[in-house]
Amino acid sequence: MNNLINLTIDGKTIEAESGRNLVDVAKKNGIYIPTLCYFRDLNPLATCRICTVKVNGKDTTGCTVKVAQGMEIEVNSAELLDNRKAIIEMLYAEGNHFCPSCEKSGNCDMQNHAYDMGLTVTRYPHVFSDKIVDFTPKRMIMEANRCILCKRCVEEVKTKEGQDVFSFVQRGINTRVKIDYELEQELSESEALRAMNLCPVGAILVKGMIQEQPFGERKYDLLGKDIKPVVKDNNLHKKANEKFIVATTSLAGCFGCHMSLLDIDTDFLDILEIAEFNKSPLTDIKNFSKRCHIGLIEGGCSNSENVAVLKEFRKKCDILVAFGECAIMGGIPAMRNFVPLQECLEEAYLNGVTTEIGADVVPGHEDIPKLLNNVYPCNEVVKIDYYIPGCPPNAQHIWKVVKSILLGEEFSITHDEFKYD
Amino acid sequence: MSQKLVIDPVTRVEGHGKVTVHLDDKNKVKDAFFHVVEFRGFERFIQGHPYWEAPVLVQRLCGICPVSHHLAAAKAIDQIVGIDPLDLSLPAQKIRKLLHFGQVFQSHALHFFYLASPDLLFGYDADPLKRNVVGVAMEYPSLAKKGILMRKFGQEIIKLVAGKRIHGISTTPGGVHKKITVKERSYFLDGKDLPSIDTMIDWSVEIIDFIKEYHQKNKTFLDTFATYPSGHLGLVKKENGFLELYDGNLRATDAEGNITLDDVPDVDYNRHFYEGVEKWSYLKFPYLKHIGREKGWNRVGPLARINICDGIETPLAEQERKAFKAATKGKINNMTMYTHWARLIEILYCAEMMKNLLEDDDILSNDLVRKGKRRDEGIGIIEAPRGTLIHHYEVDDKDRITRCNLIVSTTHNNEAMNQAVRWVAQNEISGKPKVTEAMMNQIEVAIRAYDPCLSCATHAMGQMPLELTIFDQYGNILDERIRQ
Amino acid sequence: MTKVDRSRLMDVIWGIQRKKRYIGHDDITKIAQEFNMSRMELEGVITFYHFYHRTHSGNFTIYLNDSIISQFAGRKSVLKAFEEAIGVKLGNVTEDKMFGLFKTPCIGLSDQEPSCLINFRPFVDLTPKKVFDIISKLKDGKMPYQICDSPKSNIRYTPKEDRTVFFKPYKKFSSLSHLKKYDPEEVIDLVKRSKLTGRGGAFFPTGLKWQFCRHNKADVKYIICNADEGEPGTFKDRVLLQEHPELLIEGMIMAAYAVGASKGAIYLRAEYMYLKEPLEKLLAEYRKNGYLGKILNVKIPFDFDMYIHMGAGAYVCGEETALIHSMEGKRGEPGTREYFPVDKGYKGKPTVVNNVETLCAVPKILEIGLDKYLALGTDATPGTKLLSVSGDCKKPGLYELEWGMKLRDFLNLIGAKNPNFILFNGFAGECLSSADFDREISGENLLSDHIQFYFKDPIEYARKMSGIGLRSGGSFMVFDKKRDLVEVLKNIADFFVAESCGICVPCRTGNFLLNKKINKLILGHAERQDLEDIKDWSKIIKTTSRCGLGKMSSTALNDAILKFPEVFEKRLSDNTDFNQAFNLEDATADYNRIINEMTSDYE
Repeated sequence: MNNLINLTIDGKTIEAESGRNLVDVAKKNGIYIPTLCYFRDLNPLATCRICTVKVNGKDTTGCTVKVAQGMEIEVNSAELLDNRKAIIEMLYAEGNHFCPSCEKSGNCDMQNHAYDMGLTVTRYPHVFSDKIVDFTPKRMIMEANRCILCKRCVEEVKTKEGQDVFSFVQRGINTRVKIDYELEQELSESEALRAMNLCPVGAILVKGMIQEQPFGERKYDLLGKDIKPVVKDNNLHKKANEKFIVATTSLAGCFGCHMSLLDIDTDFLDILEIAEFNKSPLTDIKNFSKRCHIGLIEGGCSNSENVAVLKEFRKKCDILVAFGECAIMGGIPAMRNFVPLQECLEEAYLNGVTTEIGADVVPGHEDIPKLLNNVYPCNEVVKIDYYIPGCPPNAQHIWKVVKSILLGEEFSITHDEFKYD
Repeated sequence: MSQKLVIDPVTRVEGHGKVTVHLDDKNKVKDAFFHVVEFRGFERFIQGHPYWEAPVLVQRLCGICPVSHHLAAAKAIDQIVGIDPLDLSLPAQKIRKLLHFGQVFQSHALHFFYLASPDLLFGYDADPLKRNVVGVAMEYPSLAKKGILMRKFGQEIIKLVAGKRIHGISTTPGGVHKKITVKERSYFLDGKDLPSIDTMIDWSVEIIDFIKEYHQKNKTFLDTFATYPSGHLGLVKKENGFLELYDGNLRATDAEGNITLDDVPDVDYNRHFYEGVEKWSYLKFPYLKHIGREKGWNRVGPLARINICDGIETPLAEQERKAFKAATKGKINNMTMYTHWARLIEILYCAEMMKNLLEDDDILSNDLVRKGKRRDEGIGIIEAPRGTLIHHYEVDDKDRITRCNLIVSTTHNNEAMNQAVRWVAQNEISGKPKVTEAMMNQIEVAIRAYDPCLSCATHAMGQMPLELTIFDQYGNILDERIRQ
Repeated sequence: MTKVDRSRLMDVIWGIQRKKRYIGHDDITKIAQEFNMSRMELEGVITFYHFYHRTHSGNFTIYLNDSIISQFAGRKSVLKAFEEAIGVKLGNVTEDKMFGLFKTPCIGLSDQEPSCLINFRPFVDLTPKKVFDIISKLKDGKMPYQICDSPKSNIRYTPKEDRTVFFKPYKKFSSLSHLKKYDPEEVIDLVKRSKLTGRGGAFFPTGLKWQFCRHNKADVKYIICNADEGEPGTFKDRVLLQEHPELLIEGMIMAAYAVGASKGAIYLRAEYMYLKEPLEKLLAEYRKNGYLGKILNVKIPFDFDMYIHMGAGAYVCGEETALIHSMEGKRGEPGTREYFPVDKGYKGKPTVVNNVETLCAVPKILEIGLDKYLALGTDATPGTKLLSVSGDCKKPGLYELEWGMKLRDFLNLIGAKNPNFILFNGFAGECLSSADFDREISGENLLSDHIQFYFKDPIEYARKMSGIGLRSGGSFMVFDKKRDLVEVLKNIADFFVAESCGICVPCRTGNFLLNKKINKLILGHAERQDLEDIKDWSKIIKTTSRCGLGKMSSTALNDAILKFPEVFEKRLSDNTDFNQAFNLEDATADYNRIINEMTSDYE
């Protein structure tokens, strides 16, 4: 039975037992094939598709391949690497992933893949579809906004009679995982916890068992790799001996990213040697007085004013950098995209706990801007050149990226710095 | 020819604000407004989330004071799991307070050094290109450095407790999830990599000396500028009415010092307040029900807190408070510009309190979480740097938040800021032949005294940049110069 | 753990759907108990299929085809007539529950559009007048089976008598006599030498498939006929089932004989429910004559019988592993490709899944004789192919052609006046232009898949592809110059979004996002960069999808971009820094409305 065979992976010859799972064989030999839905080789799920590799020239998922003599496997070609990144980006665009407030952040497999791949922004437009969070089960919560439909829970969580507790319902983009309410009640505490830990993202939660862990000590805060992003050719129109002119603005953000800008503390005085600030909430310059080299945008677009400011920034700055999750994908404020605008306004001004008796006024006036129906990420309104993720991004990280962009230098981002929350 | 003056955005404040001043054809001010143009809708979209997500979520209301929201929400969520503020374990209470003092310290330092100091150091009519934190750093580098390091100290305290300087995680329902280690706290005590807490206390005293000197030199201006009567609201210690930032009773006085809210338990807040709405601002107008909309509004923040408290528990700060009270011969202080001085007294108070807590071994303990009997309503009220902050949540039996009410500090100051705008408009702009940039900046100087946090206030989205444009009654732009 | 046979599950659900017109809460409880499934898993199976309803679907359930052929044939006015006649809009049921009006993708009647099914009885060549007539008759108490149409076979063309394979007179049972002289291996050998390949569109060598299955030892093996015919524009299997169902049964018997199978099934799509009864009757005849059950009248006697399994409305179930899962009573999701069906298929046993046309060809090959058969068609693809033709041509219908006819000649044959573009092989197939007219319909000189991605422009394409054969599963839809190509592509994209099974990310999400790009084109917000994005995104979806649906869903779109650049050019603007799709007026419309409403009083 121990039939040893030879195969090549990315040009490297490897010996392995015939019929073993490719992902395991590669791992043993120091080659990492990223997986998300893969749980054990007895039952490869092949739903997430990010382990797609080329076997003898044909594209297939690595988790379903059993190694055989003479196989030629390609794992890390540029195209395959981009495919993997694209699939993670599709997941981010399809679901409603708000890392800043998610219980699983820091322990999330999907987030970790995104960090390793250096994912700053998804190339696909966010869908912002309204998904239901199911609180009905006795002990568990099914967070459909975060579910990536990997099928682990469907296949692995069974009752003693072998019945499925989790099931897919509907079809296509309407597919959801639903919990069987009667059977869920029969699960023991440890079985429920197992289901929660089985889920690679934060879609299955057990009430009362959510562990808060210190930021910086969660599983993926300690593991992971540094990344080397690519700096594109810039259209900087800078004269020699001129300081870089920086403009900043906070649109629909909380100002935390600006505070993070200031968190470099005394290094700020060094920054002032090479840069000067033009239009910014930190200065009294209320309109662009000259063309700026770089514009830092915090916050997405929530009202007509934001849109106007953003468009002006695009016109007046050579490079636009969206920093912070709000600017990149809407951030926490984008949670209002799932609620009709009318309800938000009513809750705030007409039906609140401390609203006056007979309150009937909702703000609407020529001097205040109009609210948009949704919160829009900045790149859905204007073209953005760079993205710095985080909520807020780490101070060192922001300035490292900004400096590198301005000076056209290569740089690397440490694992600690690159976070979405 | 009647005009409308517009400041858009107000700079050197957090958030977006806009000012319009309406002049009649004799250039007399007809009316003036402070518009807040942000709206986010937190109160609605947080419904349906599990309650334990609230503290982490709501701190994204504001980037300067996320900890305030985190703690206020945490106090409310504590009640949901059956824990009132005094039921927390002693270590948990102290760690939370350490966090809170750290952030008040940091926020006040930020406001004073980065946002307000340019006006104080250069004068409100100085060149706008210089009138910012960069200008301060250039001309007063050692002062700037102290300000930066003071803010850094506060931020590092936050990072110690919450894991991250901004939007960290510290609380868990019924307690906190991390204790402090000896090594961690020595970082703040030994002065090696960071100026020690003792240095912080010294610098806080120094800066108060500076402001006292400043007040002496500019007494006439500071005593009259944007001074108007108002109520004052804040928390005070339950046992003795002293200054309290984390947990206390609600006290309010009127402009003369008569009690309008007599140390009521904070959980009863909604019996006493209504919030009015105007069409021209997304920010609401809270007021005391039994007094009414016109006169029932209150200032909150450092000036109000120092006004209404009966004393401060730390020695140096108490000394300074007495000196402050002496300026009004013990009466309530309605002079808006004195808010800066009051703010610096609070910085000193926070520094002294932090020293006490850092040296207290309780924070090294493992006894961090308590659990009680589940309730469906929780109210958490705390004194944020800018004033009284109220978080109120209702939760159903499935652990979902069903209702949420947030009254954020700056909201209480909404009417006050409008009054400030009107005062400046009436006294500095009205009837003058020409409107200068310096006059418009004066409006902003008055607003800045309140250290408004407009993002928080509207728990809405959007920022209001302040711009100033002058239109005639037909909407044509009159003055290009200001518009640049 | 009691294992209950779930292969009957869909029959049970159908039973209830047919009687009550919906599956209710109590039904689900009872069925879940009977099959020892969790309730939610059963809901998962029910909600997967288009024709199972959870709310009442109307005593007369009307499914109106919404494929692009139907649209171009006048569906809009037919839909309006339906809505007027019954009084509700599409997607709703009348209050008295008498009528329910729903849309459905292609029902296999593309040559007789607009068409619909009422209680799964076909009604073709609809006009508003006919619609009103039908509805009034139903209201009068007529039943659908009394007034429905019998779809025409429309066989427009076959080769000369001695060169025709399928459509000539055939005597029932006659080919089975060959099994008296051949043993199973010889049958496989004959099929291999005939170069017969899967006629459903995958074109896998049939003989090889049978051989693999034969070599696998098992206590039971299965022959399944894929009669799902879901590819829009295909109706050839319907015509075969109408005209020569005996060929199918005999083909399956031969397959079973060859591989050693004892059980078989015909997976018949729900849209062909009206063909079930005649088929059942025919099966009974075969049993009576000793050709099903214990089959003795052959060289090596064996047991074999088959039944009919009804589909329930899911295009993806045309994929063989999805079909097998559907038959097992699960959601019709394609498998992980860990095993082929011939190794581990239905219920884990060796299974052969073949298309209707493939199976019908086998008795004919034996009848005609291998040498004569090989003389037909071309060297790589001998024999004939059935093509279902629809669209802008004088003679839509069924064509039997010898492989090897040039496309140009075929277009003349069908009477296509101004052919502009052709969907060759359905929505999942290629989009052909005049650059392809000189190509041959055959399997000669085939290139590897995705090759069309790597051509720069139509000219390079024409040059490199001219000698390359064109193979189709059978669907042939032709469109003339007045049709909007982008409208067709949108119809295709909508179809794939609706039919994706949802289990793998690239197909489920990728197709949805591609559809949004097409919307941008239609609304005039697209920039040049969007076309590049479409090409890039399509490549990713193709390489990473689990099954053919994902792999082929963007083929026609990318073909069209390559071959009809001018169509897209005029819808594009230059790349700008501002996103055209963002419109401030639209975005603030909600707010304007709210403020207006809130400020109004009792005036």
